[in-house]
Amino acid sequence: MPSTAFPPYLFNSEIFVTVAQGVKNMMVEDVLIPILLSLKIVLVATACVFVGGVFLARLLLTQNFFGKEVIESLLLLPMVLPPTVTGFGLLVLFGKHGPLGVLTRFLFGGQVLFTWGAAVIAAAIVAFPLMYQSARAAFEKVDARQEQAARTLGAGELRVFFTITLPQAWPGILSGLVLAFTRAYGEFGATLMVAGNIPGKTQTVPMAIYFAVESGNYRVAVPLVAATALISLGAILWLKIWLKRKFWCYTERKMG
Amino acid sequence: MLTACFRKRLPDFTLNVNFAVEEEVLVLAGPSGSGKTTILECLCGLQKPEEGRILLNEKILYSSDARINLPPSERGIGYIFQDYALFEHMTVKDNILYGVKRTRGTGRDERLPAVLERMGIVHLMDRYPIQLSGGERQRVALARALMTRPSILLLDEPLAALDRRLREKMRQELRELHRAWQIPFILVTHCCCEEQLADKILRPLQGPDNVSWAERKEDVLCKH
Repeated sequence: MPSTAFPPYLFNSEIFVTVAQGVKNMMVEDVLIPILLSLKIVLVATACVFVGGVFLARLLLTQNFFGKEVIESLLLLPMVLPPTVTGFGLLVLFGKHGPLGVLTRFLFGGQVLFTWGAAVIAAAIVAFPLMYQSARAAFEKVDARQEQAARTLGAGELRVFFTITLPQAWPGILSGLVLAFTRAYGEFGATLMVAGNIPGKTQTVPMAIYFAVESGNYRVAVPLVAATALISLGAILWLKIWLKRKFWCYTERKMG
Repeated sequence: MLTACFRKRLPDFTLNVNFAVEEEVLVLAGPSGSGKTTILECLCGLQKPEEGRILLNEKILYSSDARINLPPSERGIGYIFQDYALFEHMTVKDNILYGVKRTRGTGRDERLPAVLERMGIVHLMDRYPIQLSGGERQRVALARALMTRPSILLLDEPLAALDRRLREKMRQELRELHRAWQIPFILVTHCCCEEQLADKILRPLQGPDNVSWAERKEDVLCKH
């Protein structure tokens, strides 16, 4: 087990271990720790994907430069590649002699591979295209006339973006966010390759389910499966209800 | 007073523009595809001409010689889009207040009651644009533009989308509005319904590869 965490003090899985240890039932520990660890990884990954995806979608939509299509294709590649191939690529990039591996060692003094940070990177890379695609489609649908109207009313570019563009693209962006969240939560192949299956360190829920089922331990697998189904259902349900509440007023209530 | 003298290249022809408007209603009347909307967009800064200059009360909005091209937000020009371009995700109230500059000390609602009263849209404040009729949408668009205290108002086919009865009513309202605000109005139209409003009508002169909207043959306004 590698001793250097990445980044060292930001999030500490030991806290989750202590919390869980208070509970006498060992089953709860086997179930609870992967869930908490998964949520931690997924929340960090989704936050990065959200900011990066929205920013890049807007940037690449409004700017034109040589090689833009190549960059876009590279960003979308993890969506069509088998996760194990993405994982292998990350393994090479972040390995001891890979360019990003050397960089992280220089910046943080440790390896990122086989820490929870590696799981974050794998989840983020795989979930990014979903966020990017949704955000881009949402921005494309925004009425350019309304943005222009805002400009003639005295709004600068930043104000136009935050008061017109973003609110109008919000439903699509939010759908992308939920897709990215659930995809990051379910990430298996790439995570296994770069973060491994270290209980309490990098063992996420999909990992725990697979290895529990493999060893015939259904008393661990079933609660994990149920929890995952509930979390995913909750995310989609929340999206549906939120969209309906927030947007019914100007999309459905037409006057005769 | 607005003085416009510029040249803008379009895919099919070159647009030559040369006119001046004082506190009057100028109607640009020409067929579809004669560059009317392009002229309005060049005036308010949404498009950039190739060369020439545009002056509004001695303020240079655009000048190819001086390399000045003010962004739309700094021009002080009100623009009523043909489809009104109301902000669909905001209530009528938020739409109308969008362009009001927040200055310390003065309440931002100060001018609102008078404008709303005049437009007859007080009861619509909490509605969303999708719940409005065509005439109501236009009044909201007018109120929204006027709240920014523009020095000139541009209207793109303001009556075209309305039915005949409403058209007569809006024509009356526009005339009253013009009298009350005392700023130049520029209307563009492809039919004769807006022409009755005009103090001055400008029609295009079609050349083989250009369309010119000029008041005079000689380039009086273009001389610096």
